[in-house]
Amino acid sequence: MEAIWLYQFRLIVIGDSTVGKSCLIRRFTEGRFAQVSDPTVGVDFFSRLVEIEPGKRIKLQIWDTAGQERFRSITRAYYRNSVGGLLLFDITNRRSFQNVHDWLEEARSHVQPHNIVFLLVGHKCDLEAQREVTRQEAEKLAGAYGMRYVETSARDAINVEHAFTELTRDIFALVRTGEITIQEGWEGVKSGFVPNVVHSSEEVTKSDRRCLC
Amino acid sequence: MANTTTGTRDRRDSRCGLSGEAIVQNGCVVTELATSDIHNHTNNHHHDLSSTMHSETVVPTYKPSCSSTPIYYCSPQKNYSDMNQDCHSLTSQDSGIPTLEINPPEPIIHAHQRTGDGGLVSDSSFYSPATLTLEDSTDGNSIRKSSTFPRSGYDSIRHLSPALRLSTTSGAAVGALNRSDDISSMSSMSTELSVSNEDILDFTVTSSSSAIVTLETDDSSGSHFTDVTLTTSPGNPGDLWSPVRGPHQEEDGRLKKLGPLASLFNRSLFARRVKDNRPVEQKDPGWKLFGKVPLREGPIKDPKRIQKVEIFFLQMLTYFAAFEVFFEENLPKLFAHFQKNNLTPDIYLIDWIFTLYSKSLPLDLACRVWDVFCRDHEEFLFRTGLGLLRLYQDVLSPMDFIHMAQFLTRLPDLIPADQLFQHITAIHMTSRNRKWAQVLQALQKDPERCSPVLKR
Repeated sequence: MEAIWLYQFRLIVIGDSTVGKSCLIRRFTEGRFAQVSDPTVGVDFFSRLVEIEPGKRIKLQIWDTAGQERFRSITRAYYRNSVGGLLLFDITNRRSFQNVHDWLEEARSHVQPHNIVFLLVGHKCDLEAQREVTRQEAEKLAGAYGMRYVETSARDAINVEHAFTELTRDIFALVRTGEITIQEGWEGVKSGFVPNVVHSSEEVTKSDRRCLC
Repeated sequence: MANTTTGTRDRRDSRCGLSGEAIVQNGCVVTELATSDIHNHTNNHHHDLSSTMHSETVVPTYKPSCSSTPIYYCSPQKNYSDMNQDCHSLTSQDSGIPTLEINPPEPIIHAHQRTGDGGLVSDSSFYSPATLTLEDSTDGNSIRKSSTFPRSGYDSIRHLSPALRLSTTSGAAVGALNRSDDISSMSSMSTELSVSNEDILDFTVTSSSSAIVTLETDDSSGSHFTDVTLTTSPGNPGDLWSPVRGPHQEEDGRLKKLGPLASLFNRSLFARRVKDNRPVEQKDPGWKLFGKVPLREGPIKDPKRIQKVEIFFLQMLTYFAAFEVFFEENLPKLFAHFQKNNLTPDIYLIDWIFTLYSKSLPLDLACRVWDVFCRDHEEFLFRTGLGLLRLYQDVLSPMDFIHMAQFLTRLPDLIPADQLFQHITAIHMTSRNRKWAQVLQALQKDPERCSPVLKR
């Protein structure tokens, strides 16, 4: 199957362990929810095309990082080449919300000289009865950092598409206005004006025509 | 518009564990796995870790489930929502790494699931320690080549023999339990084994004792393990870690037999949960600076917990760099292709090495790897990695970054065991007349050369 995309954005998904990063991404890329999910070790990779306007497709390359602290040293190296990020906390786990600040600080200190567009995601919003973080305080925090706030549920597929497409649109707008530019040696945004071949792993006969110097 | 790659290759999806697709095998011996993808053989395996907490002599209990209801991990979050938050993240960490569980008493139910990975290697002989002889007979040289770490001869064999039997004993259990390659299966297996066979205690005490030692020392402010990790003296190639011995010399001695990386795992990973009990140190203002602080100065300026992680990280980078040396030596074309695509070894090696391949390989294959790992130490883990790259060289070379990354972090369900071991055997563990340990040692002396991640 061939697909043409305007840009490829590399997104990173961060947040405390067990907030549901992998499940959210799997819902988005595979359209299903896994009841059982093993902890991510290091980093996992997903990708999906998003059509932000008719005919305008963006390829998202999503890096699903391990939330566990023991992998922090590795995962923080992945900020630099990301253009956008979803910062997740679990609305039923207050600590994960309290750690949002630390995550942002860590990201900001490792992303330089580039910038990263973040979206704050309150995950597991299907578990309303166990909620420990109100929408108001989360919105307030997001506002303080200049981020959007979205509440999602991978289990019930609430706002999952919305979260990713909103972030993609925001980044796309910044790319269009030139605030984010494609740079040599930076993987955050890649141009896809030349038709690229999206080939599955089984199609091993085609060669990769892109030049990634 | 969905990406074509997702889902096509990721048939196994055992991490995801879609319960809807699973067929519960009720713990029966499954020797003839269907090769089709339709049948996802699941094994439900209840394992009560808390019992191993209280007693070292508990016999492992298998309670095969008779229902087709998916069995979930007890989500710490949901069951212990009002527990101490640190414990919460603590619990979640545990299942990530194959380790000996020292949890607070807590029932953990594993759902083991592995989709049809073919009946290729379900023969019980594969679970026997015959792996060693097998490889011996195919290529005696490789054995010698791979054994760059000095062994204590008979002593080492005696020491490790329980581990070899471990795979035999577990073979039956594993055969009965179906092959399952998710992390939890290994972690629970090691726990089971540690209590099911007295002989194995010798082997397993190593890990658990080190973890306990860390537990004790961690609470006191002078954790000697931190010092131990810091005081590496690369002078002796055979003793790459050559820690300054603390009062727990015996444990160290035992650990060393499993090789430096094993000790590293024990100290830095297996003991991690204990450290997480401590209050929110990560809020210390200094922690952000860490990546910029030179290794040697770390201890003075930063919280201990972060140091350990960071030092461990730097050590891992050394291993990755050594891996790259042999990667380039053995597979120059693929190496160049990886470099062109900025595909650094951390992207796939963490997944492979941290879990000792328990996540990435089917359990029968992982068992064979562990057999040789017990003998050749961590070198064999990296050699296995190179063997995998060699096996899939032709598949990988036309792919771009994301496809390679996805392929390597989700290896195919059907990995031909014999072919893989042939490729592992074909990997030369010498580079410019230097063996693995020598390369590693050189890199440890010159850390500047060895940070593929930081260089990016």
